[in-house]
Amino acid sequence: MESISVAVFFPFAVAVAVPYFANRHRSIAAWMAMLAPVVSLWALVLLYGEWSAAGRGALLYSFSWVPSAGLDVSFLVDGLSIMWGFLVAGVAFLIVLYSNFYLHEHEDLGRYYGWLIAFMGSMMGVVFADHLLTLFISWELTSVTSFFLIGFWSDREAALYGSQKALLITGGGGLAMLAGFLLLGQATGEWHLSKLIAMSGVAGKVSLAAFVLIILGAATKSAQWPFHIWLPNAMEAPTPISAFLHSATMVKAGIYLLSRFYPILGEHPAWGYIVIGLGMTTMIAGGLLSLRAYDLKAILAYGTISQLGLIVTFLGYGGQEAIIGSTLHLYNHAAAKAAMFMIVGIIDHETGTRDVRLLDHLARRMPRAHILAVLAAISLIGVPPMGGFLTKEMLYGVSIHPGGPGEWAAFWPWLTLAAGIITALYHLRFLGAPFWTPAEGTSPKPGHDPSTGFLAAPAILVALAIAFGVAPGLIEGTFVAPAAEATLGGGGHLEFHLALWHGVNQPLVMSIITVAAAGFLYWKLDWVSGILDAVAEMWKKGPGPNKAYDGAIFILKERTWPLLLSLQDGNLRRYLRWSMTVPALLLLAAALWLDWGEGIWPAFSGATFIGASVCILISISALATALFPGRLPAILALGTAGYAIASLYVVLKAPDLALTQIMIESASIILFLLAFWFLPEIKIIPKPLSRRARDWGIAIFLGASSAAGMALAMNSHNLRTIADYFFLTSKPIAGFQNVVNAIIVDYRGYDTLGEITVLVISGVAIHAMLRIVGTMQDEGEGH
Amino acid sequence: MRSLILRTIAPIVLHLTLIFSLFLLLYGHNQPGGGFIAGLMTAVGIVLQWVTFDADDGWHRYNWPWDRIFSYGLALSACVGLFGLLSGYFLKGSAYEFNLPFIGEVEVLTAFFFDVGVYAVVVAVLLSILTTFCDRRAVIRGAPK
Amino acid sequence: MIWFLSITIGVLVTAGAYLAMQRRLIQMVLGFSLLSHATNLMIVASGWVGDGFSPILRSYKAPDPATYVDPLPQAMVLTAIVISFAVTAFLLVIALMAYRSFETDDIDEMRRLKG
Repeated sequence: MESISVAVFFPFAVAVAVPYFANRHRSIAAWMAMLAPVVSLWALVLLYGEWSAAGRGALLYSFSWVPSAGLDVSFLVDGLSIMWGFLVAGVAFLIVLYSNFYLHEHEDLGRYYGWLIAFMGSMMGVVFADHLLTLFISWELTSVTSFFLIGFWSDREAALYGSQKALLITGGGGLAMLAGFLLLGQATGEWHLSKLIAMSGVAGKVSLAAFVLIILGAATKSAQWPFHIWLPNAMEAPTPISAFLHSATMVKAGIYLLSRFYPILGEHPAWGYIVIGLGMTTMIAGGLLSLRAYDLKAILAYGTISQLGLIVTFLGYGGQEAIIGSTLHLYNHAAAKAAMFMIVGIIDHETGTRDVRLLDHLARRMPRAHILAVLAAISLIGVPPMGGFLTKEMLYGVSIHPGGPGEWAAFWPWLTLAAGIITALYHLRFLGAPFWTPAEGTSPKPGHDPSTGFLAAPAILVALAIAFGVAPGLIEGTFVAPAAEATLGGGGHLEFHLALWHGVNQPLVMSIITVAAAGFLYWKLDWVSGILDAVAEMWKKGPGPNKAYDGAIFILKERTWPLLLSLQDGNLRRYLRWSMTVPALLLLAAALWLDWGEGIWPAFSGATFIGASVCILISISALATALFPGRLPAILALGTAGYAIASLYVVLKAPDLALTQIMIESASIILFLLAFWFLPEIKIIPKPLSRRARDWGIAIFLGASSAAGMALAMNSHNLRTIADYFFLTSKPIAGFQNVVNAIIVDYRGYDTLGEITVLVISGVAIHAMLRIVGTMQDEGEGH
Repeated sequence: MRSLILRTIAPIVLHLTLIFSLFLLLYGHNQPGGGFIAGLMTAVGIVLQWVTFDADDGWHRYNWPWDRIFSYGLALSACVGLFGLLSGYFLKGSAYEFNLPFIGEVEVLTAFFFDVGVYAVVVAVLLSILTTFCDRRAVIRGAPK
Repeated sequence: MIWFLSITIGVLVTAGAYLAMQRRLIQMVLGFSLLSHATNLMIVASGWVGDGFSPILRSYKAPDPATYVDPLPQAMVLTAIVISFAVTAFLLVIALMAYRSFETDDIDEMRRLKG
């Protein structure tokens, strides 16, 4: 109970606290921020113990939140969420460590670490959420917090553009996902992931619309084609943020969602086509785009898109081997990609540029960074003994025996091979362009290896990438197997053994072909670039996702002005006319809807002499208030109406109200007299007859429909409030004989407390406006 | 106000008003009355008093720190609510019976203290608003007549 | 009686709505004052039963709720009356401040001055 709460909520507490301390004691900012991942990791270790002791199934921890609405906060702890929790908290730890070296002293550290840790907390929320709505809320929290992180350097135009794009696309996808969740919840009547997973045949009940909407949420977050466009623009973030968002967290949330829904929706007939289609397109498109980029971070961004496509493809194929592969690749990619981003950050930091055309033979000047970069890159290319080799082999193996749609079975291995070659090629270019080849220009600074501390975080990650390959047993039984079991639906234990060497088989041949082909193409890179440039030149005028996005934003921002101005023209009285006509129409519609049949209208009878004459007096004085030209007659007419209403309250058997009304009316008259002392005499501004007729028309329409609605309402006394309860309990329970006062001070004491608070607020507001603002203005004007 | 009769009667009327409003406050749970009405009665009584004496300057005599008084009133009501927490939930009402010498059995409702808070808020807010309006004349006089 | 009450409420709404739509701030404040009267009356009238007693218990033991008028609308309106006073005062203060700034109480003129 406690450890899961600590793991999820503690980061938020740190996120709130960090900005307070960070800007006062800058040296401790990073250490304070580091508390969050360290404590979360510790809590996760404890949680792992609890979970292991409980037999490694699915553990549920729930707290009731809004019990009346059936909402609760519940956490689902199983192999999948535990693995993700470690991934998120672990990478967060390394990112904070690295940020300490990367960030300049003068940056707003409080804001940086605050949002970073809040983002980490939201990710923990995403991976541990059990209720669909909790998942959605955490999901959108990651979008919002990443918006602030991407736009951290808010004085840069491009950062603002990038953060807005990321928020609109991922937030919009989140909303689509919410709609999908609602349809899913409606169709199955169940809102808890744990129960949905246990349910059988959910996929059969879910409509295609719900399915597509949920996948849309995952696809936008994971930057799948054509929603990948936000990711390259998000590279405007500080590099540690990019490393965090694009290696283990933000974009992987989509992967998490797909893994989580695999046991629920994996049986859906559309799963294979849509998910594999998305993944393959993204893998190839991302790879090709990466080859055309010159900014090191853009190369990595498109590479990330491509790698996400790879994982999505795995999930699309489905089946035991593919799920194990995708799980393992999560680790490989998180470790290698985070390391690569960090190395790019180091290059940027040391040379002052990320443009590969300006970087000259860096391998000579930054040998240590070079070694780390090579190791990270060959892991993703799939060269033994790195962890990436294992997963690349698995992907090839799966593609030969796909579990997905059978029709295209012969096609898959070739497509997969092509994707693998492109992947290898852009990774070679990532290494070659800055490290191995001469530059076209010169970088601002010559660059040299940074301090060991700066290299520590990427080094740890590269060591992990090697460890995953050499000794996959380290994570095989502890994380990969439970996560894969949970993804497959939690039934039964998986028995498998990961190893680098499987003997000579088809996947190994494919791997060798991949490396050889990529090497050859890299040798002929000018040739490849030429083809790509020619294609891009041809397509320059054609449509594209970026053009669609910019066009939509342009229409929303610029083309909506006429509509906005026609609705909101700032004319107060026009708004009033609308807000009076619409309720009048609604009342009329309600009266019509009640059916103009027999007996719904009250009879013209039962009027007492006193009641009738008071009513007539009220009507006359109300009209007089509206028609008298001077201010004093108008106040007096209003006062007459008020006192007459007090007597009407007597007729209506409301003595308390009559007393209140008399007193308030006296105070009101004095107030009006005081105020009007300072205001000018009412000069009736001559208005054309048509305008007057229009105003009277609207007023009479509203008045008549209120009267009709009132008559209908009063004639139907079948509506009994909870008054009976008040009458029966007023004396014995509350000790009141006056039921009205019993309600005010006892039954509905909360309301009354609120109402006197309103009174106090208005008193304070008037005090502030007249005594403080008024005086300040006078002093400002200098009398 | 020059009328001698009014000036003689006014203080007596004020005291009668105050006593009556106290009565309204105390008997609010059985008869028409209660914190709102008693508060209004007190406030209107005081306002009539100052109107009687001198509409221009009479308010100075009642220029008490109303803003502080309404805050205390609100605090009192909120504290009664918190007191209810002791016996169950926020704003739970409870009754206590005391046997006082000479008076006999007296039943005290916590709701009564809540009502006293309401009373204080109503009196103070009304008078705060009205005295503020009077006070601001010096400022507002700058505006054209 | 129902018709008398309904029509009175209708007249209050008509007069209030007309005033609220005028150009002068004072007229608007008066209009909103009338509209709040109408609303209060509407709520109280909805709980009224022709021959009911006022909601102050006549006997301690086993009161018959059907013989009384509904106390709930009354309780709500009681506080609403006091609050409408505070709101009116607030509107007047805003009107005063606006008049001080623009030296006019005509809202169309204010819009023109503000540009």
